[in-house]
Amino acid sequence: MAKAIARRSFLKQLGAVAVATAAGPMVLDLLGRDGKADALADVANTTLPLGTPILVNIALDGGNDYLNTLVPTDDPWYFDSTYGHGSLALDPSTTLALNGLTHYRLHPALPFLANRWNSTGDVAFVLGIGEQNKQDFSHFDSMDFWATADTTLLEPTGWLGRYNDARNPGSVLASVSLGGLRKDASGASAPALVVNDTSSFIYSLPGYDTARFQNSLNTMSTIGGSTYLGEASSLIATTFDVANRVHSATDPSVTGGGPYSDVTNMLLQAALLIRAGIPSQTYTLSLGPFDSHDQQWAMQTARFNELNEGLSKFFAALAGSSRANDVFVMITSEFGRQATSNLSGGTDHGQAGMGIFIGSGVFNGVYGQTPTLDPGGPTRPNRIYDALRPTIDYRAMHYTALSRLSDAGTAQAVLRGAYPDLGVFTAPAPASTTTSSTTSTTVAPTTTTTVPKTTTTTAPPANIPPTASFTTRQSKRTISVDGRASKDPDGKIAKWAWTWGDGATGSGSTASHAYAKSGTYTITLVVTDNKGATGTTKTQVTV
Amino acid sequence: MASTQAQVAHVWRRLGFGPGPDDVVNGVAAGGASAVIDDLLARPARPASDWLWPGGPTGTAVQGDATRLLELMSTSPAQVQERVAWILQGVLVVSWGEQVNAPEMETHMNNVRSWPGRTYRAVLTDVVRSAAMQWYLSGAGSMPPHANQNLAREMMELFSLGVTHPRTGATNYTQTDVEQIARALTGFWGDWQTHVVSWQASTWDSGTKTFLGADRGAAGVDEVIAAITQQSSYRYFLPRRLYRELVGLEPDGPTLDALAPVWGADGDISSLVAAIARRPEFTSDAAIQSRVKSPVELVVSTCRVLGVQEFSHLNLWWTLNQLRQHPFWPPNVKGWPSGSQWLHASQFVNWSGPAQWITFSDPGDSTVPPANQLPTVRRLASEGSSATGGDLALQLAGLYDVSPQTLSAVRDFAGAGSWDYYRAATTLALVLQSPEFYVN
Repeated sequence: MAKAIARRSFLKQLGAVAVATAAGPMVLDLLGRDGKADALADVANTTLPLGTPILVNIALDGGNDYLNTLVPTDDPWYFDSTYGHGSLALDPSTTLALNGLTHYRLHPALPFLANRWNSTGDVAFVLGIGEQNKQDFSHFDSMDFWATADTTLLEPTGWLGRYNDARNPGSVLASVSLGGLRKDASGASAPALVVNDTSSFIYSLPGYDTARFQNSLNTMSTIGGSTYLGEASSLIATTFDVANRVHSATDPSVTGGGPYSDVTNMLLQAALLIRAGIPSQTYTLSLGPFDSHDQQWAMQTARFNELNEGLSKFFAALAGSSRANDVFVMITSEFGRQATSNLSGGTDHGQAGMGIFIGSGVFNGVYGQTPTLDPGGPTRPNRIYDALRPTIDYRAMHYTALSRLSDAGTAQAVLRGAYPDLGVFTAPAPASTTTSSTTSTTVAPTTTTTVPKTTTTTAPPANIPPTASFTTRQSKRTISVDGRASKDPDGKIAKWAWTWGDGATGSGSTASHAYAKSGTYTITLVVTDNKGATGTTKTQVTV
Repeated sequence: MASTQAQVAHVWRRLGFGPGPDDVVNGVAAGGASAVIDDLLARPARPASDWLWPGGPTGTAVQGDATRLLELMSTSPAQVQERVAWILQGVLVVSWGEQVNAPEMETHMNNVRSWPGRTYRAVLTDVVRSAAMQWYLSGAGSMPPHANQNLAREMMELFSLGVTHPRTGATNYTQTDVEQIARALTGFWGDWQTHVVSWQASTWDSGTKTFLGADRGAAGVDEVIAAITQQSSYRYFLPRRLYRELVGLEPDGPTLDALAPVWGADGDISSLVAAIARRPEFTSDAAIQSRVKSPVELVVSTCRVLGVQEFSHLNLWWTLNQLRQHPFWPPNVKGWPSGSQWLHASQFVNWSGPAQWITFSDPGDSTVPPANQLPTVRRLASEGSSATGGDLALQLAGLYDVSPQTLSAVRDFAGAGSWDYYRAATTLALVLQSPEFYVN
């Protein structure tokens, strides 16, 4: 049964609603001239004060492979085919340079981030974050850890919901969730505002006896109580209250020009609400799936294309707005992926991951403490099974964001404990650069964490030729082949070329061919790696 | 204490997708909630030959098959079969797309819908071997020596055991178990052109494996499922899920202990559903309205209330897209959220339109083809009046013991002017947007 306090009864008790400002909670009087609580006051009249920090939280659902996001291009373990990404490792020449960074380059589908780093200088990568004790490889447990900032799996409220409970109690506009209700937005004192599309955020009323119909709905909205029935009842009132305000944020000049990916649409909805001054400091949404057990390259590239488009459109929509300098984005994922690729062209669930901050107040840098990629030996003692070991409690991300939204005290209260401030909003000391020739990463001055040198940086090895391998499957005179098991120990397979033995040829990691006549044929696969070396294998089939 | 009518309506909502216009009255006449439970449990399942998926090219099939599914859920007399199949579809999750197109998805639907008379173990085995699941959880193509762990993990976490034991809290499996079971599940091979999945020894890891506490030899799928069903948690995991879905409450320990032997070693779904439905708490006041309708439940129950006969012109799949629950596009392998996750302002906004235009899709005149007519709206218009229309609308929608506020609101609207077809239809649309209709 629902435990939340029905909003309207809550407001009646409260008679006021608090809205956060940069300086602290701002309590607005909701008492109208007739002395009755006017629940519309916060909806119709309240605007977030300019200069108030605003967070847009993006969860990369499914577990993003951070090694193929911020690519450790000079770490041999990354390329290792037994203990690293092997053929999944990105060719450094295809990745994007980040000014001042010698150890890392960015996935090629994220040019917006690279440009932002290289031009605006407000991108922070946080390495080594994760849940450090439970070694839980479940998506859904880990998502819950992140959403609640709690590891018991029993916490009903989300971290952003609790923040708004503390800072903006009872405000129906404070905690915005895009594209569905996310747990991180759920608080105790008011429902999260779920927005899918401001333009259609209008309660449809029938053309027949409209006023009476609405009056009847209003009557239904007064049931009250803490049951689902009471909550549903009060939400009818909320819906009417907020619809006009949310709908009025619509601006086709911002959202037009699509079609866009879902995440772009959600980010543009957030931009609309921010531009309109909706009294919310917190927006949350997700993008997925990143669960790249197979075909990781295609999946991750597709998601990053969407993310890149979304971030680009989002910041463009804010540009020129009076809120442009107030907004920062936090990107997380429930965990990273394992260090060693599987033979499906993917990676399995890992532990340590990476977070990203972008935007207002953020200083360029690689923060946190990178987990070592060195397995430590054949039994991989440096890893949790094959997962990289988290070096920083993931709640440091929450703590840092909440401290930016308000202050450290509030962050500590919401998270029920203190965690390191990652320092991404603090100007780095000159010594904290990322240009040294070790595998250490820049660590925020406030965390004073350093990373021991765990590997020796060496010149890139000479190109090792790939090994061709394929399997066949036969259906009558049709042969299907799969060459995804081919490997390149120091790069990746760039091309698969097939000859079928009857004069026909094909390409691609998988292919099939129908023979015109029965007989025995030799199928040949030639694989070419990303640096041009080739490997060949053949097999005979009888059809 | 809930009235007999409210209890009967509740039984219809939990063992099916809600009562049609006469179901409550008939149920009360037949003896009340217990009699309705017996009736619903005894109804024969519809055979696969009745399911008739329209299929076709992907773009249209995903709409046509979804519409057909909603039609089956809404119109099938075998409501328990439909309700439990929908629950199982949210457990054994597959999403349309990538390599899962109409043929694969239809086979998957057939697997979960075939549960009556079968064990969960048998259904699980079919699902795990199916092309739909092999593609969706990337089992197809997994091979040694680095098998991918996707299917192995979710098979235990989401399909059969859970991460921890529901009674003891102990961890059910380790990461090593996942890795070993992933080895056992290799050998499935998918043809990217035909989407056919087959098993071939050449890509199967034939080595010995040790998992779930024992040496399992050269285990494959069958040995994995056999090992899983031997785990204590297997007797608790699905019973707890089905109890939550059907009762709407969290089962306590003794309740789970009582249900575990009913479920048995292989997973007797039919006996478990019957045992849950016949527990006293199933019709208790605490259970009534203890759930929130998901969008699929909102739409299907609305169709049952209105007596929708022809579905294709209503574009219900689009409505469900707007409400963010297309039945073939779950958000992830865990399926759709439940509980208060569907209780938010956007949901009310997005439901306000469909609740009205589905109801108004029949304008009540003679030009409407008989199949497109909504018999409940027409009946309300003809049998109701300004004085009685509000109460009759609530009754036809299966809503009893409603709050004074809702009763007042509906009566007020019904009695506000002359009683005609439009007032009747709008009164019914109002009922479909009432808080009592949102909850379940």
